[in-house]
Amino acid sequence: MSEHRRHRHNKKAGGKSFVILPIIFFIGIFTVLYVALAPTFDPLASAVGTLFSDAEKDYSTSYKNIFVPVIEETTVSAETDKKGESSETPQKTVDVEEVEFPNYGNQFGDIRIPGCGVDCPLFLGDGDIALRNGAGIYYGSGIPGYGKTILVAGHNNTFFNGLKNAEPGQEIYVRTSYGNFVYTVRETAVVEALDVTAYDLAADEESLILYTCYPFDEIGLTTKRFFVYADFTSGVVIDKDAE
Amino acid sequence: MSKKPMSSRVRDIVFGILSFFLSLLFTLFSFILVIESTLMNKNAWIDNMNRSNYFIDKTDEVRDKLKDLTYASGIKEDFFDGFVDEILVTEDTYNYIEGYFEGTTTVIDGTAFRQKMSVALDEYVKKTNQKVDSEQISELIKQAEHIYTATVAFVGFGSLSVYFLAAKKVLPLVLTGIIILSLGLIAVLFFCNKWKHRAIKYFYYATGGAFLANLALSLFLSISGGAKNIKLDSRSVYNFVVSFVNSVNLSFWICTALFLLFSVALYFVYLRLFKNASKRSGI
Repeated sequence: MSEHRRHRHNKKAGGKSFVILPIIFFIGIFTVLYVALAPTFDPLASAVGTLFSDAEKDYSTSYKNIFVPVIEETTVSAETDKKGESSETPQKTVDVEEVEFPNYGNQFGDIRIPGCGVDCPLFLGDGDIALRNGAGIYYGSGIPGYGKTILVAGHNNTFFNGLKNAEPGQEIYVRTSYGNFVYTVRETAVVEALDVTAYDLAADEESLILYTCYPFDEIGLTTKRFFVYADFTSGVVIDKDAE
Repeated sequence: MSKKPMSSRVRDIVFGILSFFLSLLFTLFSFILVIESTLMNKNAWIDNMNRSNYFIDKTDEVRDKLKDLTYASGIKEDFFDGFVDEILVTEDTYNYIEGYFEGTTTVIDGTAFRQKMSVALDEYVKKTNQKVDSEQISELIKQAEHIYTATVAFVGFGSLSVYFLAAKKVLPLVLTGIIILSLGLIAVLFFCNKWKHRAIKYFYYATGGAFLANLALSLFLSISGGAKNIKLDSRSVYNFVVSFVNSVNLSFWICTALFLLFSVALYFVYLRLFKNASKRSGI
């Protein structure tokens, strides 16, 4: 068959192949690429996937404030009277279900030591935003009312500068949305920054420990910490059995 | 070309397969070219940094982080504003990227920051006449330098450096290989078809396939929003990455448009040559 005669078989220019073949090629290209790159692509894709979320990240430096001060004797619905076993004064209890447990970074209360001039918001977590705006509870410790050690940090040149005036016997007032608490300063101490024996987070008794850098009013980063230890004096008790 | 003609079906299959490989090479070429012109291009990094206000945002971030240090160290809140500026951050970032691309460094050089801070701190202490302890001061400078370098550097860049440099070395070679192979396939398709409209048809198939592959990728990036939902701690890096992915997406759209243009042009060339061939063969 001559070239002249062969060409005469194609009477129409173009045709379906001009649409179908590029589509087949396109499918083929991704199939080939997938087969060739699958061993490296799959772990890479799952690793990249962890970098993404369903929504855009919020970069605001503001924080959520869930603190609504409790005015004593008015939050009747959440409180019941319960006689303490060894105490003659009634202790108020709050059902655990009634407590809005704060999330990390929330302001959920405030802390006040009239004798020291400390008066600032209280956050859960002692991250930058918390310490920029008040005092922060170490996330691995307890919160007021739960019968655990509460470890609170603050900067010595801002909100916790007044701790330098702390003395045994002074009262510390902590207010939260679920109740108010009073602690009494037992002692103060200066310890090394990395001394983990300065506190016991596993203690069964509720106590409040405030700490900040030491010495006060000096320029530079210090390697010592100033601790204020306070015992639970009064406040609501969380009834965990209500769960 | 062989004197003995191949049967039409076998010829179509063989040239079709060659055309598919040419399409695959075109697609790979465009993908690698986009990577080379964006991810592996220092200027593209700097352009996207400028476009996304990276240096201004990064300076604010550094200042905010250092401000927290002032609360803990007893110096005034605005102390770092005096010398942590856009120029310092820009210069250190430029050197960092330069060194990263050259493979000479994977860390931010905090020397300029440290020197400026030492001078500023000396002046501050003299001015305020506050109590100082040399150990505490050196710890403060060390901590501030650490915050500065850690904030200006890109997280995870150090560990990716080996792969980045290897890819930077290999990709131009791969690109050259693809160009040579593509030219070879183009030559085979062109010279093995006596009727040139047939060769053009196979080129059209190849560019058409590459067009659809690029279109799919561009559409995927556009519909998914690129890197809009990426989780990054730094706002400045987030803006930069989003801008960067958008520019990568734009490059893919340009490739898509170019392949579409080639495909349309080849189609019209094919029609013209087909008409000529038909006239010559007396249809």
